Amino acid sequence: MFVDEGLPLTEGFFYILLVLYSAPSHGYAIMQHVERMSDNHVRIGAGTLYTALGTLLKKGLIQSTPAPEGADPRRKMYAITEAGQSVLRSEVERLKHMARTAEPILRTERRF
Amino acid sequence: MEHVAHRRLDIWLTWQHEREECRLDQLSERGVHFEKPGFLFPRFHPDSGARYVYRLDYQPPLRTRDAVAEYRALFADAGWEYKGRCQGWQYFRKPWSPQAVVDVYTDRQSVRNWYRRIHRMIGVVLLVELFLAGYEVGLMRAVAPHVWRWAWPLWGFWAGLLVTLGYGFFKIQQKRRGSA
Repeated sequence: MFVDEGLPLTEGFFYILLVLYSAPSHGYAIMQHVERMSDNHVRIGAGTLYTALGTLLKKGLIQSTPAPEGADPRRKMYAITEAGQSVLRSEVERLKHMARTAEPILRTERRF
Repeated sequence: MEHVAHRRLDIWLTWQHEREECRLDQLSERGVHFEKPGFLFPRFHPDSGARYVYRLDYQPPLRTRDAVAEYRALFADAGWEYKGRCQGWQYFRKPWSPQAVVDVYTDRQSVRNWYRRIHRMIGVVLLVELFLAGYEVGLMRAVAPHVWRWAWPLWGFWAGLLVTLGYGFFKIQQKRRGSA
């Protein structure tokens, strides 16, 4: 059902897209935002982020966007694309579907 | 311990990158800090008041200046000081502390992709060397058949090189599987 859409997303991809969903951002801000957003449960290392951004760009889920005036020119800005938004929504639906399937089963008592 | 910046012999093979990181960390703990990569003889600097933790990242050559600047900026923002590159390996360090976050690759997928890049690079080198060895043997047998059987040091060199590369290919394959 979700396989054709490139799902599931890795945890890193999921959080990067989630950060970019609200506003374009640069790499360092993404790292910090992901840590805050996940209550420090998810930390994205520099190597992981660099390769993840490259992969997401290649898949067309994010794109480069001009940096605001006065920003550090070394820091590239990224924005989520329409395709990225769609994949993120599908991933959230997939996770909800899984949780809905699991919850009633987990509420019942185990027989052995 | 030497008290001035110096070069010291430092040989490691691609599949020993974790051991090399450990070695650099241990040297730094003893006050000898890796300063600049160099083929066989990188530069070290003594400073008993500092201690660093080192990490190596394999990256194929980045195509544009912007890509290089962005790559280094990402690491710099994460607290890593860039120390240079050698044979595709990028050297970074940050001041040591017990709480320092030192993982460059933080999820299973990116670790797996990273090993895949290293694996592919060793595979390409192995194929090229195999081709060159085969070409050299064939050429020598055709052009100078009376010489080729006496060129055993050369064959020994090729055999050693190919066996080492094959071993490296196998070791990285194991690490790749271990990260899956």
